[in-house]
Amino acid sequence: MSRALPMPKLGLTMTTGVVSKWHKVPGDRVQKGEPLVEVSTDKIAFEYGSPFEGVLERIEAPEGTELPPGATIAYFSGEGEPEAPAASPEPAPTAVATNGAAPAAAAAARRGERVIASPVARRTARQRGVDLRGVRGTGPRGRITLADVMAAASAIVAPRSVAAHAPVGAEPSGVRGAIYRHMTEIGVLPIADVSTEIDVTELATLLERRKDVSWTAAATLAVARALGDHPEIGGGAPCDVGIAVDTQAGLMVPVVRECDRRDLRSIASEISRLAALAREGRLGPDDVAGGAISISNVGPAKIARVRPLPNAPQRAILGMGAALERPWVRDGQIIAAPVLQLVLSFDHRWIDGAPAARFLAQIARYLTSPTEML
Amino acid sequence: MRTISFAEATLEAMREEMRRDETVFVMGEDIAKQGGIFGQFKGLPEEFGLQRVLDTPISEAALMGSGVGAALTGTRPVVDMHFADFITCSMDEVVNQAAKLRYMFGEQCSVPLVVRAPDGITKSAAAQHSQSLEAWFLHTPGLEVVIPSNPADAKGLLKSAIRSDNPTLYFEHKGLFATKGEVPDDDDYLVPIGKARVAREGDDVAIISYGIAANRALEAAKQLESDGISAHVVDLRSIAPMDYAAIADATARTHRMVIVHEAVRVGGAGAEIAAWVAQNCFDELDAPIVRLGAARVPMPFAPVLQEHVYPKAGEIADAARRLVRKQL
Repeated sequence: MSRALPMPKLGLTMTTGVVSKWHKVPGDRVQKGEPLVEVSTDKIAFEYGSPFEGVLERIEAPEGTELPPGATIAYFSGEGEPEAPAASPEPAPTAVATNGAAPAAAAAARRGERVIASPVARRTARQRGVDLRGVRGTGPRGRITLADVMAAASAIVAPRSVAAHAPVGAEPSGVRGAIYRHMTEIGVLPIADVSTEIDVTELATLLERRKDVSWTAAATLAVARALGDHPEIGGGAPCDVGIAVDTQAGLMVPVVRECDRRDLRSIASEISRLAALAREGRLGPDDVAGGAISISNVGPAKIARVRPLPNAPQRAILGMGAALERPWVRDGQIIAAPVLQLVLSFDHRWIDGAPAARFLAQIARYLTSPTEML
Repeated sequence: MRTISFAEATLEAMREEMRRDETVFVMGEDIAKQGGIFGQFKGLPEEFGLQRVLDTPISEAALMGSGVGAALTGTRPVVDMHFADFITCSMDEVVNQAAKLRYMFGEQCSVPLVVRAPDGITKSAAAQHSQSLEAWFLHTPGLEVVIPSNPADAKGLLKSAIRSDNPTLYFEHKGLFATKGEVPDDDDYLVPIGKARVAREGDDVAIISYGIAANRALEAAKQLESDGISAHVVDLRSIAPMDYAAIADATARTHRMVIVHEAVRVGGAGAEIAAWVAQNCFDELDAPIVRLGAARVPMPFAPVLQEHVYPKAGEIADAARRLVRKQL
C-alpha cells in the first residue's frame, strides 16, 4: 500500500515550495519525524520531517522542482498508521482519502469554514504556530489529529552554515537559496528612499535606565505608533513588524505581532524570544509570515547608516544605524550629541515620496521625544 | 510475599482489624454459622465470639439500621449484604441516614460503617443477583465507594474502610473471591481510599477502570501489546472519592481514553468520568472518549446470553484499537 507525501503548506502565504534537497533515496527506511527533505519557500528553508514511518518508495519531485502545497512529492510504502479505508471493517466514510487522493480528505476537513481538528491538535497547533488550514487530517472524516500537527510542526528551519559556500555562478540552496530567490525578485522593484538624522539624547538617556529594552525595540514601538497614524504605509495589514535578525544561516525576518497592543517591555521581550528562535534555527512558518513593515538595525555593528530592501510583499522597511556622537546644532550652538540616521526604503508602486516622508518624520518625532510614544 | 485468595485477603483484613480494635464487629446473614458464601468470614466466630460475629434475620433494612445505630454509638460495624442487589431493601438507611447523619448532627457524631456488598456477574445468577450498583452511591453525597480489583487491594482497602470515619460501601465482585494474588503480611498494610493505581503504563491509549473490569482492561492491554499498541491502565480503586488527578494524568499522556466498568453503561460511573474529562481535559483529547459497560438490560439467566451483555477483554481491546487507528 503506497501513501502519498504531499508538499507541506508552511504558513499562510506559501503558494509554492521548492524541493531543494532530498536526504533519503528510494528504498531507504525512514522513521517518523526523521529529516526527509528540505523545502524552500520565498521566505525560508525548512527541514521537513517525515510524517510517517516506512520505506521511501518513489520520489516524484526531484531536487529543484517547484510545486504548490498538497502536490505529491513522493510515495511511501509499508508500516505506520494505515489509511482508514484499508483497516476499517466498516464502510469507509466517503470523505476519507484513498491512495494518492490526500487533498480530498483535506478539503473535506475544511468543508465550510470550520477546520475539523481534535482538541489536543488545536492546542498543539496554537503552541507551535502551525496553521491548521494547511494541515492534512488523517482521522475519521478528515479530522486533524495530534500526529498530523506534530508532522506539520516538524517542518522547522534548519540552519546551514555551508549553504553560502556554493561556487560562484551556481544557485545556492538552503536558507541562502531562499534569500537568493527572494532578493532576485525584490531587486527588480522600484525602490526609493527618504532619510533623516535625529538627536536621540532623550532616548539614549531612557535606554540607559531601561537595560531590558533595546534600540530595536524602541524603533519598533515608534514604527508601530507611526503606522497607527499612517496606516496606508502598511497597506492595511495588521500592525505586525518584522525584525531582521542575523543568524549563522543567513538573514531571518521574524514578525512581532500586534505591536499596537504592546508596550515597550512586551515588544522588547518578544524580539528577544524571536531572535533567539531565529539563531537556534527554530522559527516556525508562522513566525515569519505576514508583517506590515520591517526594521533592519545595523547599530550593533557601530555603522551609521543602512538602506535595506523592503521584505516584499511588505511595502516599506526602516533602516537604522548606531546612535553615534556627532557635532549637532542646538539653539545656535554646536554641541556633541548622539545622532541616529534613519532610512525608509519603500516600494514606489504603492507609496509616494510625500507620504513616505511624512511617515518617516513621524517615526523621527517619536524617537526624538520618546515620551510621546510611551 | 504470600499468594492468597481475594476472600482470604478480606478475611485477613477483618481479623487484623478486629484484633486491633475491639469496637469492630460484623453482622449479616449466614456469616457466623456458614462463614459467608465465599468463606470470607470463616473462623471469625471462634476467635472473636458470637457477640462480635452476628447472624441476623433476613431483613436488610433492620440489618443496615442496626449498623447505622451501632456506628452512631461509637462502634465500627461491618455489615454484610450477602448480595449487593439486596441493598435496595435498605436504601433509606444508607442514603438518608448513614450518608447524612454526620451532616445533620453538625459533626457531633460520625458513622464509621462499612457495608460489604458482593456484586457483579457470576454464572447465571440472573437479573436480581448480578448487578453492579455503585453509580447510585457515587451519586449520593456523604458516602465513600470502594471497589477493589485484586487480593492486595482487597485487604488494604477493607482495612482503610474499617478505619475510616465515613460510611463506606465496599463492593467486592463475586467473580474475584477465588482469584489469587500476592498480599503483604502486614498488620498495617493500608491502601488509601481515593488513590488510583496505575496498573500498567502506556502511551497510546488510556483505559480507565475499577474492580473486576480493571483486570479485563489489563488483559486487553496484553492483547494490544501484540499489535504494537501500548495501553495505560488505571485502576481507580474507589469512585468516591475519585482520583481525578490520575485520570487527568492519563489523558495528558495518551490523549485517547476508554472507560470501562461492568455496571450498566448508561448513567454509570463512566459517564461521570467522561464528562469530567471533557470539561477539564478538553484540550488534551485527540479522539472522542469511549465508554464501555453492560447493556441496559436485565441480566439474562441463559449463560450464552449473559456473555453478550457486558464488555470483556476482547471488546475493550477492540475499542482501544479503533481509537488508536483513528477509526473513532
